[in-house]
Parts: sequence; structure tokens; C-alpha cells
Amino acid sequence: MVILGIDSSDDYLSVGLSSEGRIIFSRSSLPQAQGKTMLHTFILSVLSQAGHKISDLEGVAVAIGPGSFTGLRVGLAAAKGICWATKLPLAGVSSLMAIAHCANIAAKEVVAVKDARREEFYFGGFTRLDRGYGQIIPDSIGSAGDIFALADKGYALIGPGIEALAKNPGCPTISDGGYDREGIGGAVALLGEERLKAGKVLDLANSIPNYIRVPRPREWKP
Amino acid sequence: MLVLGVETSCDETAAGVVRNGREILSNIILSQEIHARYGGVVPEIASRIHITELVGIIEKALSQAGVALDDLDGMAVTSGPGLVGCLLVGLSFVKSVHLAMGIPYYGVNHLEGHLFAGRLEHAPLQVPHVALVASGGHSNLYLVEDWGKYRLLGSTRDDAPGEAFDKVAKLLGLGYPGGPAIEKAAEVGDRKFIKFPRAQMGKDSYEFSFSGLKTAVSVYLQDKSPDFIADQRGDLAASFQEAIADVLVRKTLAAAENFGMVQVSITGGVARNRRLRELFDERKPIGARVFFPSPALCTDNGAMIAACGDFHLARGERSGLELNAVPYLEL
Repeated sequence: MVILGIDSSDDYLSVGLSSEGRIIFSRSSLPQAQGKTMLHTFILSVLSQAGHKISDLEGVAVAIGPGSFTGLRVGLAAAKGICWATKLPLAGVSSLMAIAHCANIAAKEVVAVKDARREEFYFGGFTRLDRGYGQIIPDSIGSAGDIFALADKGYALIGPGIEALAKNPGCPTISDGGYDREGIGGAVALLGEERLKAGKVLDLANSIPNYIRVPRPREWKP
Repeated sequence: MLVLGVETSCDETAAGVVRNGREILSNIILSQEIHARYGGVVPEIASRIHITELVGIIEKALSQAGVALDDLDGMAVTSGPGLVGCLLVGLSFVKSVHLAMGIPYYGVNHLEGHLFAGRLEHAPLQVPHVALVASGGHSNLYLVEDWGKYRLLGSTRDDAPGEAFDKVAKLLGLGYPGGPAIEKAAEVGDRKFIKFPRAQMGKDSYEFSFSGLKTAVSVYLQDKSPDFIADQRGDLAASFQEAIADVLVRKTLAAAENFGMVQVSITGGVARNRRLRELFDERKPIGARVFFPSPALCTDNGAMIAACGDFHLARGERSGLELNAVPYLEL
């Protein structure tokens, strides 16, 4: 069972493949190296590097959020397009859980962090299991202080949001992101494979990104 | 040739199927009414609705057309101009279908799509002709020398006419979108109540400007009481609408005359305005013909994108996976 994993929720693109519970290929673009618009060429190039074609796929997994709103939509629209055309099942995976899965530090408990801009961060807490990670703090949004409080409790902070987080006073010393960016797409594929095996298939006509943040424009009154 | 057209450039989630560039098999349009609450289109909310609704709208377009995905010879999707976050939803989806199935696709310029809305319903509309695209975002006057060959004669220096309708509707305490609200209020109004200014932009200029008109309405209302505005709302709406329609008709017909064109095509959301249609009919010279699409083809829609895509695909033009959404794409 070959699953394609797609993550365009941050300032890089990551695409990977999993099969029978293992990541078989994963590549990421450098941060800001490629616009979201290059996602499809990136998917095609990853497939060809891995020696696979769309027709080999048995499912598609996409990082459903949280992350860049436009990035999430480009990824989900791309994933929906492939699944709609090929009738493959689609799985949605937490973009934070994919990061935890790529942790390359020894800590048992990690908080995966993404920059949400406007001095806020998306974060989720995970604990290492025999295989992979289990979620112990749901995907949320909060301030640097909220995340530092978790660090004080012993969680290791990892993820692409660390760089922005480190700009805040009082930030605990954090190693270089603490995760393997290259592996994200593969982790999305792997986590998606697990969801598909558990029958957790997204409905193409109604599924939406997990934005977490809700836009609140001012209402107009005559 | 069967072509699916997908349009997500602003606040309509739309898809349509067109046969041979002329025959509309389906044209499904979801107009996102929620923006009325905010007095204008909120890009993030529009994008969220596109990603939620797009698949359902496309499926409806195919099923109403009695067409399966495998039957399609090509796809067309708006790649600009428009709101970039909105454009990317439709573009990303269509690119994936192209990637997965190999169905050729073409990224359509939204403005050219509007020009094809005129051709879709009116077989007698020939090239060359003069065309006006008037909407919430545009006020472009073209000499359509041939399909695929356009000369931009003029555009707006500031607000588009639809934008002016929205802003003045707010000043008058009418709802959003302003076009239908002002048109409705104007039904019982005197269009000669006050003569609002018409910006000429110089002799023989095909440029438009509507921000001065909006300011004129605002200045006029400054020392008026709420009671006065309430009493004269219809007259003010009718007088404003007359000023917009007057300028659009005058410049378009002047262009037709100067270039010796007997056919004129008016498209875009503002082309729905009944006073605009009436005024063109009143003023067009004998022998001239002015074509308006039906209302569903004035609004942003998938059928016009499909028709335009059909034209380009038939010429062997193809877009690739690297195509980007371009918010300020020109025509």
C-alpha cells in the first residue's frame, strides 16, 4: 500500500511516500525556496525520484493543519484534486504530529511548534511511544509564554516555529529545530496510512483545513 | 470538445461545462452571500468557502451536464486576476486533476473569460467589436480585433464601477452588494434629481474614473439630515446610477464610433444593471447592436472560463504544473 504524503503548511514544501507502515521516501524544499505554486511539480519530482507513479498510489495523506492558511488550502486542494480524479481515499494528518514524528532529539515528551504570526504560535504536545508519538496536548494556538511554560514542565520544544519563538525574551535554549525537516512528507504519508487503515477517510466534498484561528472581520452596520 | 471551467477568483465558487466553446451544458454558481455582513469581500473568508465548496460545485456541474470526468477533453481554470488565496484553490485542484489524469488544462485570464461570456450566448457577435468589461474589480474597454487579440483602449484610474456602487450604497445606508441595492432603490427615484459629475478624463479618452463621483456624493450628503437622505434615497440612488451608466455608455459608444464598430459587447457584473442596458438601447446608433449576456453569465461563472479555455485548448495551447496565480494579471 503506497501512500503519498503532502505538507505545504509551512514555508517549505514536503512530500513523501510510505508503504506497509514504513516511510520509503521523503523530500523537502528549503524554506522559502519555492512558492506554494510549485507544489505539483514537487510532487511529480518526488514520485519520479522514488520510482513511483500516481497509478501506484493507494491513498493520499495531507497535513490538514495548523499552519499557513493559504498553504493548507493549496495542499488540501491538491490532495482533493488527486483523490477526486483517481477515487483514492484521502486522510488528514496533524501538521504538528508530523513534526513530532520527525523529532531527532532524545526527549520523551515534545511540544511541536509552528509560527502563527502576530506573536502567536501553533503547538501540540506529544509523547514517545514504542512506535511513533501519541498526542497528549491537542493542537492549539498560544503565546510564547504558553509554550515556555510547557518547556518548564520538561517538554522539549521542536519544529519550524522555534526560530520565531527564540526571538522572545526568556526563551529557553533550543537546539536547531530538533526535527528532521526532510522527513515531514514521509511522516504525513505514514500517519495517513495509519488513519486510512483505521477507516478514517476524509469526505472530499466537505473536508476543510484545521485552521484553529478564526478570522473575525469587523461587521458593517448602516 | 468538452471543457470543464473552474472559477474561484473572488467571491463566487463556480464551475461549468461547455461543449465546443458555445453550448453551455451546466453553469453552477455559488455566490458567497456572507460577505454582505462585512460590507465587502473578506479574502480569507472567501478562500475558506472555496476550499469547502469547490468539489461539490464541480460534481454538480458534471452531473448536471451528464458528463463524467473521463469524458472531458480539457479543463480551464481562472489563474488571474483576482484574490491570490482564492485563485490558488481552484488552480491547485485543477492542476492535480491534470497531474493525476493527464487531462490538458489552460489557465484562463479572468478578463478574457468575461469577453467570452459575450460570445457564449450570442452567435451573431462577430470580431472585430468593442467590448466593455465592467465589474466590482474592473472597468476595461477593449477593441476585440480577433478572439485572442485584444487592444486595451482604457481602464479605470481608481475605482471600478461595481466598487463605486458598493461605496455609494454604504453612504446611502443601502445594503451590500451595492449594485442590486442601488438599482432597486433607484426604481422609484428621479434620475435628474441632482446631476453628479461625469469624469471625462480628456477629449477622446477611454480612461475612466469613478472615485470623484463617490466623493461628490459624499460631499453632497455632508450637510444633509438623516431624514432628508431617507426621503430622497431613491432620487440619490437614481442620480448616481445615471452618472455611472452615462459615462460607461458614452465612452463605449464613442469607441465603437471612432473605430467604426457596429457591434458592442458589455460583460461583467455591472452588465446586469437594467438602467445601463436601457441607456445603451436608447443611445446606440441605428444599425448598431449591443450584446449583453444573461445575468448568470454576467456574474463570475465557470461557463465563460470553459468557453475561453476551449478557444485556447483548441489552438493547442496548454498550461503546465508550474503555472502561478497572478493577482494583477493584465489583458
